[in-house]
Amino acid sequence: MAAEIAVQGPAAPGRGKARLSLWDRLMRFSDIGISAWAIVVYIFLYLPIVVLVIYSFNKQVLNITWEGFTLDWYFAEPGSKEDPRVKGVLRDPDILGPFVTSMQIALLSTLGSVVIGVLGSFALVRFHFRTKTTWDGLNYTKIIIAEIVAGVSTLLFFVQLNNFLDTYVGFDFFNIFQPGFWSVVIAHIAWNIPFVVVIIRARLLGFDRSIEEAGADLGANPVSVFFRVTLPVIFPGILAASLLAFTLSFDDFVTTFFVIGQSYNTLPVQIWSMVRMGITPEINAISTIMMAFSMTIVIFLELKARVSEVL
Amino acid sequence: MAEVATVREDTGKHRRYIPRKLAGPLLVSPMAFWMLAFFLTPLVLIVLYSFGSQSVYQTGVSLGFNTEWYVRIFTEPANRKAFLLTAQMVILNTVGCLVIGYPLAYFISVKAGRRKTLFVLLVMLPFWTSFLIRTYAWITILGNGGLLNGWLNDLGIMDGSLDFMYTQKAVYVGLIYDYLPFMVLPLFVGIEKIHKSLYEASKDLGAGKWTTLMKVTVPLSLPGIFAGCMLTAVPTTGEFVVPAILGGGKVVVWGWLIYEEFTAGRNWPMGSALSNVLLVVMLLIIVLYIRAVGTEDF
Repeated sequence: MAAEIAVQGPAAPGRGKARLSLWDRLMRFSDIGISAWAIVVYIFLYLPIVVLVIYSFNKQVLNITWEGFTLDWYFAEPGSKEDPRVKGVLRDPDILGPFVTSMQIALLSTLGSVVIGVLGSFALVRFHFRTKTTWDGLNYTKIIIAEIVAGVSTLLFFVQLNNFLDTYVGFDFFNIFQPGFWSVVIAHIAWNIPFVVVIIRARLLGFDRSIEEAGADLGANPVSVFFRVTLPVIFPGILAASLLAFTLSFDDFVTTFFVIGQSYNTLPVQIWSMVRMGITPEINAISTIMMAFSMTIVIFLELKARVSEVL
Repeated sequence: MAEVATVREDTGKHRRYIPRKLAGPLLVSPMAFWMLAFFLTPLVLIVLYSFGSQSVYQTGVSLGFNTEWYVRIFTEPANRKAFLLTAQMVILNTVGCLVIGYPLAYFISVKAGRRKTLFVLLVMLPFWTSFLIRTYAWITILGNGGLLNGWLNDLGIMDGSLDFMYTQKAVYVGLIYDYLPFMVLPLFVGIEKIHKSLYEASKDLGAGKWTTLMKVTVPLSLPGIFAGCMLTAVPTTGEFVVPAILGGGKVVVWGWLIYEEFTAGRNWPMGSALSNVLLVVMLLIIVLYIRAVGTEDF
């Protein structure tokens, strides 16, 4: 508590500065210290990523130490090398299949969650009704809670729903509720909606409604006000929300793992089983491609829509 | 669009297609349906399920009021051990992220100047890639004979193999790495809200940098600290991927118990009970947070 005395005690007359405590004196070097700390943390954040990318060109199959440069993990035809473990990501059906599934799921769930989320955001920002706080609360809870809880409960839900349909309804709804492709799409839409709402809502709250009124005064009906005034203004938000939803869905592992069943595989689920089976630089190569993909999206977004200001 | 043009009326007043009172509920209904059906209903179902009993041949689950699974959770030593380990993991990860993240958030807010946005983006960028991959990336660095091992040997700090991978320490490195952005962003927002003139006022009144930090910056950024701690702590409670990849199955946490019961263990009622305990703990942390901060900054 020496610091407290230093502040509250009156400075002795004739002295320029109040006496500083030991901690205060040590903090003189804080400018350098804090910048150095920031550099260290940024290195910590990027070192694994850089290493990951470099080691995707490693010749060594076990990928422990650096042996030499190769592009095999990207381009080698499976079975074309002496060692059967050497396979190129871009030719490996075990990777390409899940990749296509991931893309399809991500596109469909982005579409679904953005449409539903935009409508919901409008309702939450512009209208007053009794259940509003309930939907807010559900959304925030969904964002915060550990994903495993949502994952296992959704799995249970689908299994029970199918039992129910089998026993009492006798119609399988084309098996879309069976753990598989569509169940993942449904779960991802529920996973994405809250994030979409957070972004679109921020955009709507900063919206100057007088321009809509101007549109209406000039004779536009509500529908054309929406399409010609409102939509263009919130479009950067919609773009940001779509790309966030796409990335969340494309990268999602936990929910997908539980809900996907036996006959489908997404890229993260495939990576999970590969990591646990034993690792080769092929995983580094997939990761490099996935990361390049995500980061291109973010950088594009930042340049076009200034996401960091929207988020 | 052509159709839209024809319904325009000349009076200047527009016919309302939907009564205003109904518009809100109508717009919110798809979202409400989705969140109720595919988020809340499963949560209710898993509570019911956790009180069910499983037949010996694991053919099905009959619902009822069977507290067997909860009794097992609270009596079996293995479960208690996992609970304590998870609590430790949550606390160390949250504190670790706070200690590492606060100076960084302060740097971005106060020192970075015009490049602020760039530095924030640099924190967020790794967060946009799959955390499975981000976690996996550490294996090359931390593994036996890996990069860190090599560097330490070269520098003469140690000899031989590092034995760091597949320990709790490796799990903490991975966790802090994965969760740091969740901490730094709310901290940054919290510090950013402090008016810069307060720093000057503090300095003019004779306070040193440490005093300013403890009397001005930290107290005023408390909402950000609370938010960051909650956003880090709550998801960490259910974490199982990082302990699995970097702990090599030796670090058995609560999330891993749930994972096991729903996969190899095939005891879904037990898994449901485990998952409910986790849910209650998470809701408790959230309630504590709301008590402390309120819902304004939520």
